[in-house]
This record gives sequence, C-alpha cells and structure tokens, in this order.
Amino acid sequence: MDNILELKNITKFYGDKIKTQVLFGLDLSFERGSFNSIIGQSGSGKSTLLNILGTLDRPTDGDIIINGKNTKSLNANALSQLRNENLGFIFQFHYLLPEFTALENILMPVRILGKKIDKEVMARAEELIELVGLTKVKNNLATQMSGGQQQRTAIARALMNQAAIILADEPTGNLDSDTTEQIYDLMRMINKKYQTTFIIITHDQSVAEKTDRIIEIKDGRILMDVRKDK
Amino acid sequence: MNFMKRAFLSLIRRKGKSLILLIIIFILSNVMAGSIAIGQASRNVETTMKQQLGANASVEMDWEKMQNWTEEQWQNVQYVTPAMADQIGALPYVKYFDYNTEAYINSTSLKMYDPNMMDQEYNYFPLRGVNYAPVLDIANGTATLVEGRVFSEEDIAKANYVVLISDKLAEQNNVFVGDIIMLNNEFQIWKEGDVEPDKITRDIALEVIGIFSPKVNTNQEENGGWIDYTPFNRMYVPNGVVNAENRWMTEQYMIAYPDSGITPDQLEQVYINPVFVLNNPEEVESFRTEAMTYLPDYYKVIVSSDAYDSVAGPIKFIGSLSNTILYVAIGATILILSLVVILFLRDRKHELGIYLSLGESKSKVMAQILIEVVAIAVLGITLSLFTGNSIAEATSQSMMDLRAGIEGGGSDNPMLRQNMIYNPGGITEEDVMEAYSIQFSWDYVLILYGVGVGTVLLSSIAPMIYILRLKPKKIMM
Repeated sequence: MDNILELKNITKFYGDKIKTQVLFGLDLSFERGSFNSIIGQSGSGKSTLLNILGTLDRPTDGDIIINGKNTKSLNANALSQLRNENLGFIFQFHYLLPEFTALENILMPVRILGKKIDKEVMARAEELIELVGLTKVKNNLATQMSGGQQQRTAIARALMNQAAIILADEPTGNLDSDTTEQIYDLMRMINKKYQTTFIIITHDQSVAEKTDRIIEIKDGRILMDVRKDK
Repeated sequence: MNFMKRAFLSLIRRKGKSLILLIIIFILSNVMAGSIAIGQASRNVETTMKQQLGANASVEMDWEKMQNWTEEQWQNVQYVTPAMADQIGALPYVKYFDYNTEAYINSTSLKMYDPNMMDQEYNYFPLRGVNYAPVLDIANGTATLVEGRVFSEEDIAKANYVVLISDKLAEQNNVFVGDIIMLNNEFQIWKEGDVEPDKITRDIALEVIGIFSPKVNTNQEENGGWIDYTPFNRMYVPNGVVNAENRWMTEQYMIAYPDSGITPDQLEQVYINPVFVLNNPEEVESFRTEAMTYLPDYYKVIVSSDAYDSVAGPIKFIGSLSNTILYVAIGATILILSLVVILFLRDRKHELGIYLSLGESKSKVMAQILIEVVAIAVLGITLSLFTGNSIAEATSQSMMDLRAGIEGGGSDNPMLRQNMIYNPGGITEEDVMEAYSIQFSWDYVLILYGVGVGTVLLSSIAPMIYILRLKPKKIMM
C-alpha cells in the first residue's frame, strides 16, 4: 500500500532564548487505510507530533508529505485548505459548535470549504449520521446530546469532507468504558468501510492494543514501532 | 459567503449575548447621536447667522491699544480719511462700501421718537451720511424701505438735501413722503460769565424721499433706554449734506474762537465710519489683513462674524461641550466594546479553534466576528437615530438654561446695543438661540452612521488581534 502521510527527519524546538528540543529527527510513514496508535507518557512529545501531523504546528526542520504534497512551502491559507481537504480531527473534548445542530456541525467542513450544500452533500451527511447512529438526534443542538453522541458527531464531522486521514487526540479519554468501546468500534468500521487512515493518540492501553500499529514515543524519539499481523 | 451565514446564525442563536451587545451599543450610540445632533445644530446656527449677517466689515479705533497713550499721541491721532476708505474699497474683496459720516443736528419742529421721554427742548437727530445710494443698512437688512425710494446717484453726487426717516418718527411727527422737514444746525458760543450761550443757527430743509423701518428686537423696543431708539431717530442723507453741516460747524468754531489753533486744513477733515460689504464671507480674513495695511496701527477691522461671535456664547458653549462629549463617547465606546467583544470571544475560543482546525482561514474568522459586531452596531445606531435626536433636544434646552443662568439671564449684549460692535444684521443672543434647532437631516444620519460604524470598527481592532494570536493547537489539544 502507498503512504498517505510521511514524516522525514522531523525536529522540533520550543522557546526563543532557551531552546528545548522535543522531537529528534523522527522518520515515520503511514499507509493509506491503516489504523495506528501513538502512545507515550506525558511530555514524551506525542501531542507535538500530532500537531505537526495535523499541520496545526510547523516543525523546526524536516518534511511532512500529505497525500503526496510537501507542506514545507505552503502558506497559511494553502495549509488550511490542505487540512480541510485531507485531514479530519477528533478531540478528547468533542468541541462541537453549541449554537448549531448535530447536522449543521457535520456540514461545517463543507461550508468552510465553500462548497454548496447540495443533494449529494446532504446525502453524504445523512449517510454519516446513520453510520454513527445519530439519526434521531441529528436536529438537536450540540448541548442537547450526550457525551457519546457528541463524540460521534465529531467523528462524522471529521469524515464529512472525505478526509483521508483522521487524527484523534485521546478520542475516548472523556468517555465511560461502554461508550469507549462503541467509539472504537465505530472508528474501526469507518476505517474498513472508507479506507480512512486513523492515527490515534491515546493513554488507553486497551484502545492502543486494538489498533494495527502501535508507535511509542519517549523523550521525542520513537521507542517502539510495532505492527500487528492482520 | 459561508462565514456570513455563520455570522447570521450566530447572532440569531446567541440571543442573550447579541442583546447585551445591542444594549451597550445602543446606549453609547445615543450619546454619540446626541452629541452629533447638538454639534450640527450649533454649526447650522453659525452658518445661518453668518449668512444673515453677510460679509460686512467696518473700521474702528482699537481702544485697548490706545489706553496708555501720551497727550502728544492723542494730539496727533489720525482719523480714517475718505482717501483711506477709497483705497480699502478698491480691494478686490469689496463689493461696495460707504463712508458713513455722522452728524447730530437739532430740530425745533420735530420730536424724537422715544416713548419713555417727556417733551424736551432739544431734539438732536443722528444724521448718517450715505455714499452708497441703495443705503447699506437697507441693502444688508438692518432696515427695510416701507415707502418712497432710496437715493439716486444724482442725490449722492450733488449732495441733494433729501432724507430717509423711520416709520415711527414719521408717524410721531405726521410726516409723509414728499414733505419737507426742517432741521436746525446750531452752534453755541459760551463766553465767560454767560448763563445762556449765544446761538448761531442754520436751517436745513430736507425733502423726505423715503420711509424705512429699522430692525430691532422686541426686547430692545419694549425695554431699552434712550440709546435703543437711535435706529428710529436716525436720518439717512447724502454724504455731502453731513460734510457740509460739519464744515459749517467747524467754520463757526474758527470764527468764534480764532485762537483755538484750528487750521483751514481741519475744515476739510471728515469723520467717517466706513463700512465695506464683501463679495465672499470666506475672504473676510484676507480682507482684514490687507485693509490693515492702509490704516494707522491703532485701528482694527471688525467683521460681521465678530458680531456673531459676541452673541453666540451659549451656542458655542453647547457646541464645544457636545464635541467634548462626542470624543469622550467615542473613546468610551472603543474601550468598552473592545473589552466586551474580547470577553465574548474568550467564551467562543473553542468555536474559533474548531473553525481554524477545520481549515477556515483566520481572515474569514475575523470577517465573521466583524460582521456580527457591525450588524449589531448598525441596528443599535439605527435605533439611536431617533432617541438620540430627542435626547439632543432635551439636553440642549437644559444646557442653554444652564448657560443662561451662568451668564445672569443671558439677554442681548450691551456692547451691541450701544453699537460698540458692528452688527449690521442687528442679531442678538435671542436671535441665535431661536435659530438653534435640532434637525433630523440626512447629514445627521450619515455622520452618525459614519462615526458609529467607524468607532465600532476601531473597537474591533483589539478583538481582531486576539483572533490573529489564536493557535488552534493550544485551544483544541
């Protein structure tokens, strides 16, 4: 399988006067349709890595190639567009727009892309709503849904632009064990159905063990990179 | 266009916060609207009054400069001569001018108009010599011709003994156009030990060719002292008539007092109070500067706008106060709105982070917030258009009353009543106050929207900087 996302010799320093290096020449690549997890202790550099993967932060040195495009030379607007078209985010705190309904939240990436909400777009939104099991509450405001429903909405939103890569930061960190299981199953189903690449940052060992590849980060370096046989 | 739709939805669905912002903007807009309406009314009064006054100028001695003069300086004082007036009158700014010579002449057959006075032995009438045939005071509105005619060029050139008198004086003395009135120029010679002076009298017969009605304010007409009736007792005659009578008086003086040192040159001395009507009110200052080059340095040029300035105290006070209030309101609006919007944005930090992480550009996020704030501002300003106007009316009246209280009643300026300030339109403080009116004009609407929206945009600078500094990775992760 081809690589949808590649990191080449990624280095990251923080600070102006006193520089602290948090990532040390990381080389990583993720195959299209793979289901990955990144684990590591607090301060290991995994969140910095996710920010760089998601183009929310730029590395001090090194290259990021997303879907064949090197992000190094892109300006802020081009980077935003690349992010919108290729990446979907799922956060620990679902961060829905409280004034909008579940359906409107799911449609938001399309609106931001400047596309018209036509029949085709609506059909995809409905399909995703059905997929994540929100048909009954699709017209509820975000504040009128449970934590699990909100996280499902966030997952559907991440998929709305047919993102090839989903970056999930502790997606089940705020949920009970039953709901965690449901969300994991949902992500796995989406991975299989749409061949969406998942990169999940988690503390939850049980979630990490269910992924096809576990990358452990320690002190800004890759300590372990284990692929399971499918 | 989607950020616009988001802005609209956000406004509709965040009703509470939208309402709070609307109330704040409405209150501050009212202060701005009131200040703008008051400031505009003050400027309108000034424009109207100055138009009414026209572009007139006179030349007078500057008594302040002459306060510490020596006796020698006083002896050598040089008066404005017709030649000087001619030079000034030839300046390109001058439409027409008049010397305005003056003489006070008694009449034994006419009674002065003064309802407060009993019959008296002497009735001295102020004669104003006219060089400008249409008569300056009639041309500039200080008086209106009600019957007969003004002077002809021939009357002026030949110094015909013709006269214009006021309607009140004509009525009191039963005089009509075409009648001949008699004045008696009288020179009195006082010798040592005399109880009564010797009198030399020269009779002057003047044909009444016109009757005018002077413009005076009601207050002056009803309650004024003797000086207030001068406009009713003033007679307009050709300049040559006044010069001839003044010359006759000087001749009598030379005969009666041969040792007085009066020279034949002084016989030719003519005392004038020239008035210049200018082509354009905006050229007043240029005229003032150039006219001064033809005058002794103890003279000053007084323009009609000076008369406005001397009576416009309350309006200027209100105008100046409204300006200050407007600046304070703009400052307060920028500060309060900036803080309130930033406070609201802090609450919406996650929302903004979501937009940015979903790939929205910061410029569109800023545009969304700007649209939200400006939309509420336009609504607030629109509402305040009407309330601000009413507030301005109520506030103006209170401020005028306050100012009138400070000035001790604020009636007309005594300097004006005594003609110490040239005031061709005869405007008083009451005229100025009456001309003051708060209006709902297009200018007011446009200025309020301009100032209001401009202020709101300035208030948005700090919130926009806040958005620029937002980093989604810090918000979301």
